[in-house]
Amino acid sequence: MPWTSRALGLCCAMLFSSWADATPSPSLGPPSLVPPSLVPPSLVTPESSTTSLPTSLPTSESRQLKEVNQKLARLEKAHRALREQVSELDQLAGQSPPEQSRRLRVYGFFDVNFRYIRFSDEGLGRLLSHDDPMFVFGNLNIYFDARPSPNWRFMTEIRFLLNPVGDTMTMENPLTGESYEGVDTLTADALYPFDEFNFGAIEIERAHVTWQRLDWLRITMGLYLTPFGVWNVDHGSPTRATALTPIIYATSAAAFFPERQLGIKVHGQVQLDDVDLDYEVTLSNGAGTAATLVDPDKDKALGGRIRLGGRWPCLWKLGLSGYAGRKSAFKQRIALAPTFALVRELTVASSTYSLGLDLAATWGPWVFQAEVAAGWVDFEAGHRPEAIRGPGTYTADRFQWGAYGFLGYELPFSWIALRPYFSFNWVSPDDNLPKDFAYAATGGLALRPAHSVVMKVEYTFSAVESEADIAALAFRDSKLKDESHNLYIQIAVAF
Amino acid sequence: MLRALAYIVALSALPAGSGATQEGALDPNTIVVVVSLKNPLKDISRKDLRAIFLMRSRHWRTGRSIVVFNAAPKSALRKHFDHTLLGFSPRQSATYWVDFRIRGTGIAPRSVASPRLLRRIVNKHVEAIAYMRAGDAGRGVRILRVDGRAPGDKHYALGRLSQVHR
Repeated sequence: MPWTSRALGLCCAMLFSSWADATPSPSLGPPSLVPPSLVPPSLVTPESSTTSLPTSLPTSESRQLKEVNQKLARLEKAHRALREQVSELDQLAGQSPPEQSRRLRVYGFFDVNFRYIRFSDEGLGRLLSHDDPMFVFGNLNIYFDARPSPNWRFMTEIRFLLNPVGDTMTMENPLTGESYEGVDTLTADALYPFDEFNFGAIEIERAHVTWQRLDWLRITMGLYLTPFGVWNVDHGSPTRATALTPIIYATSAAAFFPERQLGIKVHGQVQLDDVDLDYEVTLSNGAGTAATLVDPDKDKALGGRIRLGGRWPCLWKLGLSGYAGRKSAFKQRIALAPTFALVRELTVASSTYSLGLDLAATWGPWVFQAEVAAGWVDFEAGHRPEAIRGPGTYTADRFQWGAYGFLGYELPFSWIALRPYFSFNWVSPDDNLPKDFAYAATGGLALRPAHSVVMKVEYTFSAVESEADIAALAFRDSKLKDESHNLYIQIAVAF
Repeated sequence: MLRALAYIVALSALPAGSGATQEGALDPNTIVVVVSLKNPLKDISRKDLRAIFLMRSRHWRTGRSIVVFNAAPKSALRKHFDHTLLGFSPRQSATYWVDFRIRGTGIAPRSVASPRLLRRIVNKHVEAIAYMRAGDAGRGVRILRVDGRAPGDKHYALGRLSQVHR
């Protein structure tokens, strides 16, 4: 529409409008105190009065009263509209995006479990763990997440545990004469003199600061979870597929990838046509019990992960992870000769090279997840650990590998999310002992009564077959077969 | 009556290209993606839109952080948008955001139930992006084209709120 015709239209509108206003109307009265923009159009023309008029009043007075009532009704409605606007503006101010993103956010997850493990009579499991049915306090993890400025993020995750109370420090041993000693953390409550309580532990799962100015390049420094596989990235019980940890993460995880590292991580994501690409490169102190405190190695551990994801033919993610690092242990002593000195001696040192491949896919109701991990451990000459077989025997270099697969199916119930699943694990812990292996088969049912609540009931049969070290430890025959039946019931909640 | 006629004439005189004119041509149930008028963006690809609403892309090309707003989780609008753009059922969507948080990736975008409030937020903040019914997108926000197609075009990616979802 040309500009002139628009102007003409506006003029016509004004003329019509002024003519309409000039027409006698029962609403005629003093101008409203409320700006017209704040009054809904329906309120501009008042409706009939809500107050009944006494018939005895003169016509002029009743008319005036009617007008006053109409005005009052208009003002009340306008007042309500204004209050609504103030309320909305309050909310608007509260939701100011840059401000809200700077707030500290606290969230987390919790799980509690019931487990019953039945070990085979001839196995070592009875010695190493409890087989009584018991409730287990699992994870109580709290996240503190803050953005001190739009390009920086700080996040820490703290796990609270009831441990170490009840842990075994030493077992009664007729060969060494040691007696049983357990951990007791009982302490007096300063507030209530006659009360005592057991203090628990705190574990820092991760704590890092991230510069995130660019999507394709972010830099994180601190204690972070190793970018490896699906399980380690999923991290929390509400997100993980099963209640029981896959064997590659449980018994021999240290030989594959460390669960977390202290160092720096460069990561980002790029969109390649229909494929999402995520990459992470890590440089850290590496693995080992002391790696989060001190790093006695000159060499830093190097790792990384690249993950591709797409939506065709189904939702899929394929990841490749790698890690190379030196793991060492040392002792310190005071030397008096030839001069007084503090000497640090390397006791055990090895290089670890690990590779992991993972695939996760969702195809309609089907959920599939699989991981394969392989690790090479090369000990340095003179720094091999002693083997369990006794003095004079040392642990050999080894190659180990393991894998697991998970398959679940979402049942088509609209009122509840119900997913039966099956999983199979396999680990070959040492290529020098080709007949040693461990495996586990799991069947379970996961249900979500609410989006943030997951309940898993699962049964696992696991078996460890060994011809060497563990059997030697038990002073038994050369062949060991340790089987167990595991029942886990877990309820996990994200909050 | 005369007053109403006056408004109609006045509306017809508004300049073309304003929100009101765009809305007028649109089915009010068409789902539109809106940004602030201060945001220079006019067109967005479906792929980028998906990355933004999955919180994979978190920065505009200008370098500013993207602030994403979702519709209320159980609303028909949210169900339609999640299904059409992200391929998520309501359950999958909820699980995605729980997992997102537990993995430490971040937190889900804020949900705003009131379209009027959402429109005002988007109008006020240049970083914001949201979606709503075309009927709720008044002046003060820019309706984006998706993959070069305007809302209401034949192959427009986000479609319109269906009877089923409503």
